[in-house]
Order: sequence, then structure tokens, then C-alpha cells
Amino acid sequence: MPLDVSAILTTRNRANLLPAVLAGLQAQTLPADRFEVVVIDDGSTDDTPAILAAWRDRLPLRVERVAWSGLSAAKNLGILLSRGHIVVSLDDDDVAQPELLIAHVAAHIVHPDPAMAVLGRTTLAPGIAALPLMRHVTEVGCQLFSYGWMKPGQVLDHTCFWGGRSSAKRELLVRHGLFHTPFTFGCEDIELGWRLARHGLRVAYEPRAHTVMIRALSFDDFCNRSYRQGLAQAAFAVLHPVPEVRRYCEIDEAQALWAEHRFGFAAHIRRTRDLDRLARARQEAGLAEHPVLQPALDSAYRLAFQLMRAKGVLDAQTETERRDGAPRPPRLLRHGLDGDECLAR
Amino acid sequence: MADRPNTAAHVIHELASSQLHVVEQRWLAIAPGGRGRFDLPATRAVVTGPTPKFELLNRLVDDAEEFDWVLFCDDDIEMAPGFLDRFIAAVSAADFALAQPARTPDSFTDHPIVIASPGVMARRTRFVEIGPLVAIRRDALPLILPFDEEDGMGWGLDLIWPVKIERAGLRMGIIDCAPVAHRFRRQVVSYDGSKAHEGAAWLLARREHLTPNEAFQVLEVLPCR
Repeated sequence: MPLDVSAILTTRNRANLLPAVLAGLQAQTLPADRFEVVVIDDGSTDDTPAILAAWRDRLPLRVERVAWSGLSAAKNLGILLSRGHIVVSLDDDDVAQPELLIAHVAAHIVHPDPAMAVLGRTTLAPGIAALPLMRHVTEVGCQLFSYGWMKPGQVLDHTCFWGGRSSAKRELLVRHGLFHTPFTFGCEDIELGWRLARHGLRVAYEPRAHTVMIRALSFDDFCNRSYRQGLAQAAFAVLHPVPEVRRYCEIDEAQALWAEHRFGFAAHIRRTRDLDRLARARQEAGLAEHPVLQPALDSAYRLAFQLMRAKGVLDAQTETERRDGAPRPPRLLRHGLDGDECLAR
Repeated sequence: MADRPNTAAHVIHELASSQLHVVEQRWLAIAPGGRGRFDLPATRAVVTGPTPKFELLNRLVDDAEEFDWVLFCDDDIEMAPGFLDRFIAAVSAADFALAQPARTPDSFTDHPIVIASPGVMARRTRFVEIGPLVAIRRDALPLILPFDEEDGMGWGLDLIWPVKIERAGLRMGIIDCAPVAHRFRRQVVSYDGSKAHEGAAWLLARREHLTPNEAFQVLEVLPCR
């Protein structure tokens, strides 16, 4: 019987989280003979290979280990190795809830159009949901997830083709587009979604396809993430130089924000880090939310992550200008048939 | 294509620079009405009138079995120095009888599977594209050559080849550690794409073949060594 689902799990140095992630896949209500788990170990240097080896007999698992190549290349390899009709993309810090895969299958039965994808829902594990930063990025600023406005079954556009929690028909991807490999982190999903939109991609929201994020991010983790997001957004806007992409990546907003705040950037990051530390200390001490601290912290987080993203955009643009202004290697055609010369004949 | 900008001189130079292989190059200059420039070394013939592509190619490789490898190469690719030695070494290590280099991510591509996978040496696949560069090992030549006049522009052949290769117990794949750039000319600009599509449909209707979903499959990953 052909496989219904291939769950693609790309991972790098998350040996501490993998047992919980794999246990989630083992507990699926979809029978094990109807799905496979394709794991791409993207050059891990920790115990990831040993953990994956220990799980080989407990799951319909296929593992490929490659030299570090980045998120997009690893995901592509997983998709091309897959044999299922539906490809579900998983993150290595999310635990699949028992009905995750069957919910994706059911949603694709409801939406048989080859160009129709499915977006699942990710929530935070109870232990991390209350952390000041995690609460902010999922409920207030929504920089990590933004599900609040979606309704079950709602059909969304390509900007909701979110990596790590979406599924698509394999045929759509292998025929019309895989991830752009230079995108090693950030925007790889939306960039692919943008290209697939030309082939009719739409995304149906199915909250019963549920995963739970089990990794808490620190303030500095999220700053780093926002910076890399900015780098990726600048690259996305260069790769597709059209107003729609520039607007989506908020390039002009990033430039304006940086121009306004660059001289106070470091001070703001330091101040926010201090506020974050204070809020966590109060929480650990069992104190209630402070009526002044909480809004001040949310406001500081918001600006800090906007600035980190803006810095990423600006740094990427500076690097592009530096590279474009540098002396170029001789044109290939100078050694042979030159176009102008050829056409003049 | 003698009347259009091309990278033939670059490709000729790079292939001739092999340190490990004796390379005999045979190039055909397509010069409609005698237009263009066709004085590059290794030019075997100049074609000035419309002639079916595969008839020309068959003429070039009528002694193919006297070579260990036959490479068919277009005139619009770019390759890094040392390409051929690295490519043949990887194809040999992977034991592929039919192979192509992957394409750099900035290349024009019709099939996403051919884009280079940076963390690996090669991928055993069920798909090797007919161009812009394809390598055939001597033992696979009888399966592929001579081209049939029914092959038209060749579209669809890459869905037929895997059936033949697999039935013969041979392996095929894509070499990721020696990619080529194919960004000089967009495909299909040089001939009628819709006609080629129709030709491919008839070709596939006549012969046993894989579906694209079956063909766009990686069977084995060969890691960097």
C-alpha cells in the first residue's frame, strides 16, 4: 500500500530534545504502516546519530546524515527521499500530538487540489508558555507564531505556508519547487510559498494538526533569530525584486527604523535584557505580574526584535553593496565568443 | 549556437584542462544561414540548415563504444576549474552508469531535483535530465544510443531512461560535489517549447516510462568523502 505521509524532520545538535520528538511520532494514531519519518541529520556534532540509531527499530524511520548544509538543503533532501503522498514538515523542537499526522491526512482528503497545503497549529509546552519572552512572542508581539486571527478550516494565502508545521502534496513540491538552498535560516518557507503561489498554492488551517514546542528561547536567542530573519528578508527581497516581496519583508520600514534608532540600539538591547532578567526573577520568586513592568517589557521586547531584524536587513544590504562594488573576476566570455562581437557579424 | 552568445569556449577549455582523462571533444556549430562565429577548436562540423538534433548527435558518436565515457554538453553552462576530474571521480565512486552534474541554485531549472544538495557528494536518483550535461558510461551506451528520430527534441527521454537503466541493473544519479551553472540562457528560448511538449507526450505514450512523481525521487544519499 502506498504511504500516506512522509514526516520530514531536519535536525542539528538537538540530541537533548530528540527523544521527546521521536516519542511523539511513535504515539501517532495513524497506523505506522501508513507513514514514514525521514530524518536529515544536518551535520550534528552531538549525540544525535546515536539517538537516531537507538530509535531505528521503534519507528518507520529513515535517517540520512549529511555535512552541514542549512535548513533548506536538508529539507529538500528529505522531500526528495520521501515516498508518501503527503509531506509533513516538522521542527526538531516540536512534539507531535497523537492526531497530528491523521489530521494532516484528513485535511488533504477535504482539500484534494494538488496545490492545496495544510497549516497545523503549534502551541507552547506548559513549562515554557508562561516565560515572559515566550508569552510575548506568541501572544503579544506574535513574532514567533500568530494564530490568533485564524479560524479552523480557513483558506489562507502563501504567506501562511509556515515551515515546521505545514504539509503539502509531494507532487506539488517535487514538480514545481523546493526550498532555495542559499536560505539556511529564515524566509525559506515563505520564499518557496511565493514561488508556489504561481502554481495556485493556498493553505488550509487545521488546528487539530497539533504540535507542541518544547524548547524555551532566551532573549538573546530571539535577538539572534530576529537578526538572521532580517538577513533572510533582505536576501528574499534581492532574489525577487518586486514591490510585493519588498513590502512583505518590510525593507523600507527596517531602513527607517534603523535610521531612527541606530545610535540607541546597544543601549536598548542592554536595557531590555535587564528588564527580561528582572521579569524572570520576579516570576521565579512567585510574584504576580507587575502592572508597570509588564507593558514596559512588552514594549521593549517589541522594539528590540524590530531593531535586530532591521540590523539584519541593513547588514545584508551593506554586504551586498560591498560585494557588488568589489572587483569582479573576468567575464567568461572574454575568453571566447563575446555576445556583442558575435551579433555584429 | 554560433549566432548567439555562448560559453562554448569556456567549456572547451575546462574539459581540455582535465589532468586525469584524455578528452576528445567534438563540437557542432549551429550557424543558421552561415551566420555567427564557428572557429572554435574541436568544431567537427558547421550546420547551416535545419537538421534534427538527434540526427546530428548520432553522427558525432557513431564510435561511442570506443570511449569509457560519453558526455553530451550544451553551450550555455559554466563550470569550476577541475570540474571534469571531480565529476568523473564522483560518478565512478557512486558507480553511476548515467549521471549529470547538479545545477547551482542560481541556475535556470525546470526540475527542482537537479539543484545541488550542498551537504552530499551525490544522490542516486531515478532521474537524470537530458541536458545541459549528461554523462553515459560505456556499458550504458547501448541502452541510450543511438537516439531515435522519434525522440524529437529529447523531452521525455529522461522519464524513459530510468526504466532502461534500472532494468539493466545499473545505477544513475546526480553529482552534487561538481555542479554546473546554467544561468546563461533560459531553457526553451531556442526552440518551440509547446511543440517539444507535444513531442514528449507522444514519445512517452509510445514507450515505458516513469511518472514525474516516481522519477523525482532520491533513492540513496552518498555523503561527502
